[in-house]
Amino acid sequence: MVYFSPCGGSPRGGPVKQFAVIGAGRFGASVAKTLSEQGCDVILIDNNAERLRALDDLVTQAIELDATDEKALAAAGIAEVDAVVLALGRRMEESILITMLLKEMGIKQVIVKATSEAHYKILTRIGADRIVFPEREMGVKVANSLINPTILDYIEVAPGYNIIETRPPEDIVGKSLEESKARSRYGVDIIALKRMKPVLDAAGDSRLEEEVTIVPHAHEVINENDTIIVIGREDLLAEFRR
Amino acid sequence: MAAGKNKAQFSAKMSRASKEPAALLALGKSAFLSECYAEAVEAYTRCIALDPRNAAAYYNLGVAWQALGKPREANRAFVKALEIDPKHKAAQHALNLLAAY
Repeated sequence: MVYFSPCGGSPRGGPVKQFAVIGAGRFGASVAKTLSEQGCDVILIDNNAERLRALDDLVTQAIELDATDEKALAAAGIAEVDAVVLALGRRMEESILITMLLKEMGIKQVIVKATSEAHYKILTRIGADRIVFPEREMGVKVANSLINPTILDYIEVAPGYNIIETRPPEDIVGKSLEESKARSRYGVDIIALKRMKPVLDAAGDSRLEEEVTIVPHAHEVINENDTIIVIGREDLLAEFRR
Repeated sequence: MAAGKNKAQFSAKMSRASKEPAALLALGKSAFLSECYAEAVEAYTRCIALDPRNAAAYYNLGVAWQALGKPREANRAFVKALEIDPKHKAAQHALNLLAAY
């Protein structure tokens, strides 16, 4: 069984990763909360004190400042973080200006939420390391989940190649990974298994705990209620799920 | 063969516990931990038939339905647990998670 802590912090996991999130709206708050839950240090920045107060307990530091002020950003220790997520919603001009400031400050990774095609184009030109369109990306995921209800999630790793999270097709349920012949028959690889394990909590009530096995053993048997994570070419993944 | 034997053992335990809600609840939890989720549902359902105000039985029933991949049934059980005990944190948490998916 393999467990991992994406943010490190364990004796073998190295130093805790540090992130800054600028913008405490719905998207920024969600990013900050998830990073904190994963054990990362998170600095959350916004110019709205009320928004920050609501999220203060969830992050390492909640700082009220104007992120277009380079000196204030530097004083907040932003140059020390592993990555900055810029989540300013519809404030396009501010988002562009702050992206430029962050790149000039030498931030290793700047991830910016874009709100339009024009915004996206400008961000690519000024050196944003990653640009996300949350609404568009979620729209594509929802549409794909409607067309392919067995796909729970997917990530495009390269054009035409995806990692999908899906229920196991009927013909491999009850078989070991070796017997499923995913690679030789379908040309795809099952890279992880998610399984719910029954436990009792401190109050003696039942609870299901998710266990994730990364690179499962060839003898691991696939159960009906498992979730499998599979990598491969898009057309071969579609064939595998049939 | 082994599954048949386990089923027979479960039925014997069920008939011994048939008039004791607490024993049925414990039997359901034991079946749940053994990943015998259908048996767990059966034990909790019988427990509820004897003790319809047992919030814990409804909550545990919901978790067993979840394990069987039946979110609607799970949802109904968690709602019932909360109707009986509005402060049942685990049932509220489970409902929130179900709503998120």
